[in-house]
Amino acid sequence: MKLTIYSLKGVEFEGEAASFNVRAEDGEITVLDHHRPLITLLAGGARIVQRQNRSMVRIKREFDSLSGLC
Amino acid sequence: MESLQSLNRRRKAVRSIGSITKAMEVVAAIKMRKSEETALNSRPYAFKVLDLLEKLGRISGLDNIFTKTSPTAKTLVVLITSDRGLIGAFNTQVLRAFENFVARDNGDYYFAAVGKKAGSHLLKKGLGAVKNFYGFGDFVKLEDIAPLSDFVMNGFISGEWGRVVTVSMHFRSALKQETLIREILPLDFMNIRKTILEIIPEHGRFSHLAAKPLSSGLAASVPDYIFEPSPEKLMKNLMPHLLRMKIYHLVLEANASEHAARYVAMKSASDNAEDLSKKLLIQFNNARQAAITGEMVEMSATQSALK
Repeated sequence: MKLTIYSLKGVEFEGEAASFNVRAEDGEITVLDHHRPLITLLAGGARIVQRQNRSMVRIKREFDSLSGLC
Repeated sequence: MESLQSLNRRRKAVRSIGSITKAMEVVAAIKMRKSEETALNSRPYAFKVLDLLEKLGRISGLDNIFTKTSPTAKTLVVLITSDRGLIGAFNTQVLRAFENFVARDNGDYYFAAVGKKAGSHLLKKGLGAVKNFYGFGDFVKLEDIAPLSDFVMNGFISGEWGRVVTVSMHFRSALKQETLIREILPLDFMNIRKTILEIIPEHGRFSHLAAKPLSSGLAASVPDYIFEPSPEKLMKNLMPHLLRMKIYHLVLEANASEHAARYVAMKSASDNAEDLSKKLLIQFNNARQAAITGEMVEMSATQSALK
């Protein structure tokens, strides 16, 4: 899926991802391809699994909206 | 002809003013670049925020306090200017747009001033601001504008005002800024669409967005969102946040415009000082030459009289 992470300082991440793992307020969520659009509150910390390697993104507390791009 | 001393004094004064404006120009250029970068970097986020707001607004059954309209309630006009002067016509333009708006849109108003210039203008006009905000600094952080956004939101929630309009400067490019009058509350989703279109720059980064309609037309279906934990809790958190972002973005743009306007004003001031200094030097040399010629004429006249 195509993943873009926006912050006030600019675009933090943009690219292909195999999965996106975030800690939401109600627990951990992993988003895979073809996920239904979702809006949730984040608690912090996210892990992106790219096709090749893993990378970590630190998120303070934000909102996460997944549009139909997944 | 003016005396040599006074010409010299004027020339020195012009030169020292020129060096001051030159220094201010350099400082403004650095600040402009930095604040422009901040404003432009926050744009993708602002696009997304507004896009999300717009989509949420079209989901029926998701009512929230920020969308309710009350036609009889008063309007809060937030006037965003700079704290300091020496920026050419920047503040004048914003204030003129504000005057025009108030004259045209006859209504019942409260006023809030952001920036010292706005505060003093309102005071001069006898309009009296409900609250003054200033000292946001050259590079505004999200925390800095919290008092402003809280004030705007709390007044709206308590029903003190039913509409919030901002008058501010929008940064199009270093050489071009324009005044913008925006209705930020109540959240009207047509307005948000307009805002999205307004903040898309004409050229440079993000200009390609102008070609493709954001989240397509009104007829487009809204994605079937899953809300977690619950729509109510989410909206309660999300709406104030999105609004805060909207206000923050407005202040950021105004800030970038201020530095750009100051840079341009200082540049033309130092160019003028340089021109004036050159002209004064020529005048000074002419006067000096005239004095020398006069003395020589006197000397030769005396000599011939003595013969």
